[in-house]
Amino acid sequence: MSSDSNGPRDLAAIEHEAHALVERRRYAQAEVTVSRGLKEFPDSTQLQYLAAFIDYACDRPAAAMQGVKMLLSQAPQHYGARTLYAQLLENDKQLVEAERVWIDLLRDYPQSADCFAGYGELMLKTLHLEKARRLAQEGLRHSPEHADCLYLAAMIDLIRNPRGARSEHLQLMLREHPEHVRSAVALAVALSASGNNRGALRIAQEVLRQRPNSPELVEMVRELKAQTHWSMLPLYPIQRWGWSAAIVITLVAIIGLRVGERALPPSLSETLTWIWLGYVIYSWTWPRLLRRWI
Amino acid sequence: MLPTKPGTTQLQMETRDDLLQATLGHSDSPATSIYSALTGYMASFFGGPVAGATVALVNAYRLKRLGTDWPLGLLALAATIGPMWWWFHGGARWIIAYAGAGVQEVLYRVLGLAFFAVVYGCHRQYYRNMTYFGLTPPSGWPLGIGAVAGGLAVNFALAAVLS
Amino acid sequence: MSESREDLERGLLSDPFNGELRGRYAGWLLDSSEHAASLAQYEILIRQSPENASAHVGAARALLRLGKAAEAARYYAHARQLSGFAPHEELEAHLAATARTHAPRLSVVDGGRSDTVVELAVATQQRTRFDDIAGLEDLKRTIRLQIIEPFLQPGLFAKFKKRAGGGVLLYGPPGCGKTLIARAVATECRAEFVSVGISDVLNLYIGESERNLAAMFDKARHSRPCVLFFDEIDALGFARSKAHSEHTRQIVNEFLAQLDGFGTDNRDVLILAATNMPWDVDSALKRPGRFSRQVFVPPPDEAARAHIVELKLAGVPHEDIDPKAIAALTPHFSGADIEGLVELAKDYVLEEHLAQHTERGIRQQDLQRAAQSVNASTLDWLRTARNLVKYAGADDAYSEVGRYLKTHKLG
Repeated sequence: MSSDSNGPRDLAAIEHEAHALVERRRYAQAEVTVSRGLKEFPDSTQLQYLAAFIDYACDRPAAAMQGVKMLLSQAPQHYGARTLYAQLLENDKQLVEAERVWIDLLRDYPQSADCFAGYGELMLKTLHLEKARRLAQEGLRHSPEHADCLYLAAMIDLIRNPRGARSEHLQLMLREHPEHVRSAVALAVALSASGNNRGALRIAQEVLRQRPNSPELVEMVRELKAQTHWSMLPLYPIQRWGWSAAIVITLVAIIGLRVGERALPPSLSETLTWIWLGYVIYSWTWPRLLRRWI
Repeated sequence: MLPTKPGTTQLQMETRDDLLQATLGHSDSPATSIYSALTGYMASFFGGPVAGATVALVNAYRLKRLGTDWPLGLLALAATIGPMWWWFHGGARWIIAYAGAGVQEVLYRVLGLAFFAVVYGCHRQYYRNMTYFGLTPPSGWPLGIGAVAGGLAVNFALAAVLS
Repeated sequence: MSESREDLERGLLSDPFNGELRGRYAGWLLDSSEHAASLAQYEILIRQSPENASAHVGAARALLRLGKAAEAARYYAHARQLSGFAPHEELEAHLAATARTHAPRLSVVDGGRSDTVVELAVATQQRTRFDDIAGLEDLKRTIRLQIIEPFLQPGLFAKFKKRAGGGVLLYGPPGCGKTLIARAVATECRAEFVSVGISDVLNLYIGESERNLAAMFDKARHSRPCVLFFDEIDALGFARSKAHSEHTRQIVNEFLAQLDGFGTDNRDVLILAATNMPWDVDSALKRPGRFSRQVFVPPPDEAARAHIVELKLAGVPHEDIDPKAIAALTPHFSGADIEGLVELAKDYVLEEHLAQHTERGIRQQDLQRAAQSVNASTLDWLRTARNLVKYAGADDAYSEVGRYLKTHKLG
């Protein structure tokens, strides 16, 4: 870097440069630096790890997996490689194996909030809510302000009670990590769950402005844009109260139409029936069409 | 984000051992999703409580909580047999006199939806989990159609027995 | 403090865009000596309303309490330029003291390693002019009006109360000539051209990167009039909210200090920057007085592409090529893409020569065939930009991108 770029550089300088480039998501440049570094220092586990990480970040999972396995065969205790391996296994749907890796990591690093968070996320993805909650709590016990553990705990609070008292974990996360992308995501989910889709949309758009190449964020914004579209107003009760509202509306419609059949003129009763059918068809088809259009 | 290796101090804080027991078991592909609430809703609406219970119990199996949720099956049978028995033993006359012919259709739907409400109450956390984490439910068509067909068949059979 | 912390946090949870509430929350944190948390809240407030003077003053107070005096002075100096500003006694005194002492901006943590300061070479290569850049007439007109003429005739623009000064950020897909345009600007401004890349600044040792950056600015000031050009500024000025290391954040802080020219003088130094990823550039760098002017450099238009085809074929055997027809076949192609296309056409000809021993020049069909195989590398960038414009409610800074996408039916 700023030292003589034509002469040999020490390993620390190369690793620092590679780290700095990866942090800035300049993966193409990082790849060049790492390749050059590996020519000079082929045994550097850190550079091998960075090479695998770059493959993972550039959406080359097969190459990343190969790199990680090769590294782990030489340095089976390499922390970064093990966490990356767990992530790759999860993405490849090898969940049993991924769980084993997380458990092994936690046995070696029993205070690691990162590992508790990683394992907890796996549990959430496999619908093991209670275990995920306990893992997040354990991670917070060791590191009370850990962003990923707070995120998990906040999301679990929302899963259990989306419209109840404000999540302490979410508040703490917003206080300690106000700029963290997961704080924004959790806040957007909380706002959406409490019926404030417009607020959620603004938050999601703000995050998307900083990460416009994230497909998950684009999808989140599209979904929220669809939900806040004026043509979705008739579906507001269902958006706000979910399946409870859907059940109540259906029951009211069924019973109401039945009563109407007996109490109202036939033409009016028939009109109401058609309106109800139209509403059902609209509720089924319009949101999907709108999402495609948006 | 590149992870940083945690400190290796030897201070051994207590970590509950039960958390470090494998949960996903030895099956090759543990369920990462359950059938959607919509599948359960439609099955209950068209096929009654028995159809709704079929979906609910399949989900309970996927969630490995069949041991907790099996009473839903009993509840579905009770919610079908009870009203049917009442219908065929005087209830029909009374309600038709009050609400007119064809009311059984309405009662059938109300019962189905009420049962779905109970199922939703039991499984809502898992539905939310899937929504918030973008987990995709399996296609509900095969199970839904099968559950409705099975539910209708059970209903007809019970009606034949109870009438 | 009549409101409790819980009340304020609950309020923000329901209404995160309530600026007045967030200001009160930040003030509460400051009064409770939670300076770092208070600063974070003021930063969010500034991001949500950049012209909020009291937020800048609040941030300055928090920074002062955190011992970051120079940064505090910078925020306060900026606040003074905003409407609604109300002086703060402690900060006024601090600002006056800082201006008097001309304290060096940078304290080197490891104690003055002057032997590692990079000698910055002032570029003396052949001058590129605007006339050398084909096409992009609209862009050249914009740059002339927004960048070159204000630099050459500051008095004229001041007469019309047009704000001059600050830097200019060129952004757009890779390989579309941002660096070339920066060089052309330097020539048109009759100024020296100094180019700085990430490798010129980043250093392993704590404090060295900041020293290198300060040295770049000093060198540019000594070479004025000068165009100081930062290529890939998203690397140097990476968003602090996304950065994980303190080192990365400190480089940005130093960058901001240098741009503000606090305690120094940036007159006759035009600061340009280029990036493919404007969304990764720290938002503070894009505020008024810094890189507040952002100019979109689109992929070359048809005239420019035809010219690039001619350039790439110069000196290469070819037969009767119609560059305009090739340009029409290659929408959204960058200069690098066209170079790739010509290289591929060369491969076809050489392949044929080796197989059939028929020597010939590149023909129209070779280029047409190559155009089928080469994809525009700018499309990925344009897709990402589309997400920004279409979904992210991007502000006026990306209005030019929006217009480009609409015109080319990519929006």
